[in-house]
Amino acid sequence: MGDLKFQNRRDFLKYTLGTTFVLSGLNSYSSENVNLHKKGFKKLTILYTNDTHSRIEPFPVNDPKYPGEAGCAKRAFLIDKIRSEEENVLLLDAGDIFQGTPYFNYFNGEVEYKLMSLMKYDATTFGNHDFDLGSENILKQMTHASFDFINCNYDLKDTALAKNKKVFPYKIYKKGSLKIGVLGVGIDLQNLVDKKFINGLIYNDPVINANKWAEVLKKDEKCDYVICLSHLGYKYDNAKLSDIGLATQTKNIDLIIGGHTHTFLNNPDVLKNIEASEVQVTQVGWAGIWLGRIDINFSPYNKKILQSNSNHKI
Amino acid sequence: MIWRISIIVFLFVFFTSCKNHYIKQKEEFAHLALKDNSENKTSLDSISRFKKKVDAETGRIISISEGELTKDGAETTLGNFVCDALLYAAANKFKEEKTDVVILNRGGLRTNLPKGEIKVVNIFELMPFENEMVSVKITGEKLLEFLPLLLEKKHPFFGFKIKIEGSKITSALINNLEIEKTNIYNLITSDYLANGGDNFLFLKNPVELKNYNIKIREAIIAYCDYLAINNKQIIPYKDGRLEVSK
Repeated sequence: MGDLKFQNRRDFLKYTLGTTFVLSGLNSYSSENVNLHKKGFKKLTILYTNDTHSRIEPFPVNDPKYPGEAGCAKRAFLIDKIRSEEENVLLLDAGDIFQGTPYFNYFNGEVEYKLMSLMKYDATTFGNHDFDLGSENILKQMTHASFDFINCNYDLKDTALAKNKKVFPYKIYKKGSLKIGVLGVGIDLQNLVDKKFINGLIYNDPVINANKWAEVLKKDEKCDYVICLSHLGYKYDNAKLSDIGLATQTKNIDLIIGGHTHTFLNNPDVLKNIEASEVQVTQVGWAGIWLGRIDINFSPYNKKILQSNSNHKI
Repeated sequence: MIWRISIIVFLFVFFTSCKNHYIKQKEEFAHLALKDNSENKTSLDSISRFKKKVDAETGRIISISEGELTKDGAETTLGNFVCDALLYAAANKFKEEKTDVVILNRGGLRTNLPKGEIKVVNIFELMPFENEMVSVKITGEKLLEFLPLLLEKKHPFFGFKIKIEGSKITSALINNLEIEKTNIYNLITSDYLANGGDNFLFLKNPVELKNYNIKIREAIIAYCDYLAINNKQIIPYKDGRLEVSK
């Protein structure tokens, strides 16, 4: 197990910011798992997607960029396999489930939600394209969804979604003895979605609202880990709010799982939040070409986290 | 005894708390990739009813392309192809007027088209939105105002002949003539953009706007059908409508 090293905080940063080293093999990985378990570490496996865009079937074999890649049945198989190996799996999505293949044009999102329910997703957040047929359509398709919709900066009370029972500003998921807080933020939909589809929807500041609920999750609810699902976009070359901006202007968030910009990140970015504590930003492209994976071992003592990142190509 | 245990406990707590122990391990994607492309049977079964419908509706081969059509570059083969399709549809449907300009947004073209067989499904994935074609009468002044953004965002267009040096526009022609501020031009675009979507604010409040209730996707499919009927293939091309010199 020469590859597995304990490091101080600074080294950790250095590694996550660029250096990569490859683990020798799956067997040693598993044996390390067992060792950590014996030492009282509690393990959480976070699996995530973003911008799946109705990619139900794999890309066609003559696709110029992703021939034969992605596909829900392959993703479902992989998730099942991981669930059989790991005790505490949290499966999340960062929005834009809808739009991109004829499945959405013909069935308006039913197939997407049904498959995600089958894969036992815990939660998603709203992306702009999820509103492409309006908030009424989301409400209608929610009857096919057995997962939560998490957003804290859209005021939906004057939209069709006011009647739903599935949208929450935040949600706590108990995985084993771990308490994981999840909140969600969405992008300003103006100029992205036809006005008639978002009638009554009020966009509130993501930073203020994320801060508010992250504090509730970390301080009041005493969550072991706080994840923010975001559809703001990874980063921009102008002043527009991005995940990088969100990360640096907030506190009490450990990980931001992002979307919208279809950015493939091999490793999460590690940044300093407004209190100079670590916060990570991640995103796995689009279409379910990758399944993101972050394994975290929580030490039995406070604030010690052993993390491993690995994205599965599907 | 209790004293010794408390010393040990103290030392343990001290050593575990004074260092921030982190671990980081990175694994290659291939390491955990699916080896045999295994699929979950329940998922496959649950989509079979939907897949039948999608395949029946969109599995038809409508054209053959001599090469990939992509969004690579400032002037793109994919952008030119889609503009040609809208030009064809406009010539058929908006018979009374000649089209001067076609403009779409780069972000609206969602995938590249492959070399070889083009099926209806490819056009759905290229243009999944239900946006419709509109014709807009607009002043030269508004077109000129929009040109910098058009070039910055590399939006696909037809009708302009533009020369740029560095970041400066040195020439912008329509129908081989300088764009006149007071002239009215016939522009084809989508209803989404005509409503100011994707920051196409210059299209708001035009001189005139007509919607012919044809989806952009349907227009592209009709163009592919037209090519096939005339035994033509799709030929990716660039014609220098945008000339960039340093």
